[in-house]
Amino acid sequence: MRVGKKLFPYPVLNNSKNNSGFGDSNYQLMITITQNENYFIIEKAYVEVENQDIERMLADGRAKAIMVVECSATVFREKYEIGIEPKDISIPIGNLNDKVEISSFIYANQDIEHFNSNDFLEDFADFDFSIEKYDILAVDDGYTTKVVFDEDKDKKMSSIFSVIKSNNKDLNVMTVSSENKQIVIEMPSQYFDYHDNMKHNDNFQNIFFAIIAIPALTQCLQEIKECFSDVYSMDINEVMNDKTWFVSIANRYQAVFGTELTSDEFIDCNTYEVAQKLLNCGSTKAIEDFYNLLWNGRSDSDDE
Amino acid sequence: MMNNEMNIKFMTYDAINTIKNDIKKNNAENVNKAIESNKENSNWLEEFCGCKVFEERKNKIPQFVLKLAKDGNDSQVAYDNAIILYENLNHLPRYILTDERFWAWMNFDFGYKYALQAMPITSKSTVGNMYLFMQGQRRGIFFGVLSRLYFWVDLTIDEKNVENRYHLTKFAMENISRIRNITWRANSSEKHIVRGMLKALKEISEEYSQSLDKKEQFRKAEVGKNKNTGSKAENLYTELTRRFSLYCSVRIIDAISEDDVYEISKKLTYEIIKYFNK
Repeated sequence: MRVGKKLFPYPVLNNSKNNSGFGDSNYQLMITITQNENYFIIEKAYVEVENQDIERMLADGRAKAIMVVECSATVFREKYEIGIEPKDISIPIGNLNDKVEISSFIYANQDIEHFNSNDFLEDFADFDFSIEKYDILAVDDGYTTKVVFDEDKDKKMSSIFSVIKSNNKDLNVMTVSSENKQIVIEMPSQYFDYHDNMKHNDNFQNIFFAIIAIPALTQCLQEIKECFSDVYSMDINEVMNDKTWFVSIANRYQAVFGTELTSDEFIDCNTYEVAQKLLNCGSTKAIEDFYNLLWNGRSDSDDE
Repeated sequence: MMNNEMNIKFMTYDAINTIKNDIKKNNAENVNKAIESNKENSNWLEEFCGCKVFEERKNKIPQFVLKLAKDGNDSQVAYDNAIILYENLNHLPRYILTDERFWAWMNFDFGYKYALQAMPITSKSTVGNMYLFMQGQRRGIFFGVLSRLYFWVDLTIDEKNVENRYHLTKFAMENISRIRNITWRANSSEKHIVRGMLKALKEISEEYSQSLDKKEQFRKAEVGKNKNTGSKAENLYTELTRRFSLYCSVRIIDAISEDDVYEISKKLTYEIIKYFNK
């Protein structure tokens, strides 16, 4: 659960300084995230509270701290009571998939009259507030991470593409759409059947990469790149949260280029060249395969 | 593998993408026509998609069948099937139970005949919204023809009630507006909120069934009225979720105890019944 820029009718201690009703005080959720094949593990979860008034309320039980783990894809949401002492929490990995948000709150565990602090921002100074049970006192919107867990998942790059048969009889070109999970390539029915008959033949893999996958990937990368120039401060993690297939692209980029795909790298890249390199230099290898098929009756270049 | 178990399946992404493509680009004309002429089974999908439609996964579930209503949609059969689905699937990991491909298999293959009975294809958006997750993951889960039955039980099961842990499920599913509103929106991943609200509503509904006069008051609140600004009805259940959300505005919903949800919901429900009987 993210509070973001939500306004409260009383001062709330927010980890985000711009949204905090306090001056120098601070509130922070401290965690270390790891995962193994069975569990998503939040190690040493605790809160750091730099405000004496709230710290005192935590100590005497008038307030409590919790950590909320939420995964909207699996409709999973659980709260865990935490405190200033580190605590390990394990969540069965099968409960999570895709984006996981981990946030933390301190809330009033009872009605609190005359809530005030010397560190309230000027607008609130000299006031005290009536706080009701469960009202939020401190917030840290925390962390967002991604769990990609699918025991049977095909990890090959080619699995980011879905080539489908068109039921539109008038269609005579391929169309490409960048969906959440995959890049979908729609093919006229007749050509879909040709492709379907040949797609398992290793001799044609680079040729299919060159005429189908590379142009499709180029178009989708270009579309995302254009979003970067339209939306100020957009970053690569947002793209990965929005498009699952882009996570495979980022991983492949690291393997091929030996460097992490950052927002800056992406903005500066030539999408056509990157698409070719990510897909095994399929365009140039396809020429080689054509040549060998014509003259030798088979292709020699290596496949992905 | 024991004979009384079977492997679950997923509909392949290629098949899902082919159906969605028809919905997006041809207003579901082809897919709706194919379903209309094939109500007994979904063998038509193989030719329609031109690819492998379902793939087996390693997770196993007991062999079971869904009930069919004798005559069209039947709320008792819906309730029975909800329990059947829950009891046979609840051991599966959550990432499978919330996967579009799993429910696409359930809707288009395993429970095809019942799905068509419960949710006939009446418009260009039926398949996309009720059989696939075209309106998004969360909406897909809670509006899907079979997935919603499973999750209605998942959210309303009352393990503390040893005599009948489905008593809230039964009460909630008696009224479609009741189950839809109480299990949807921010409450949809908060079992303690759903249970607390339903316990309050069930108790008040029983209290109001004691006299004809009070019964009518409760019915009036359930029926509600149309908003002046549009066609959306407001009733006891839309109002309760709205007012509860308002109560939660600066509070931390996760921390509110089920007992407190029950108390707050009771207070709000009495106010709302009064409001609709002014």
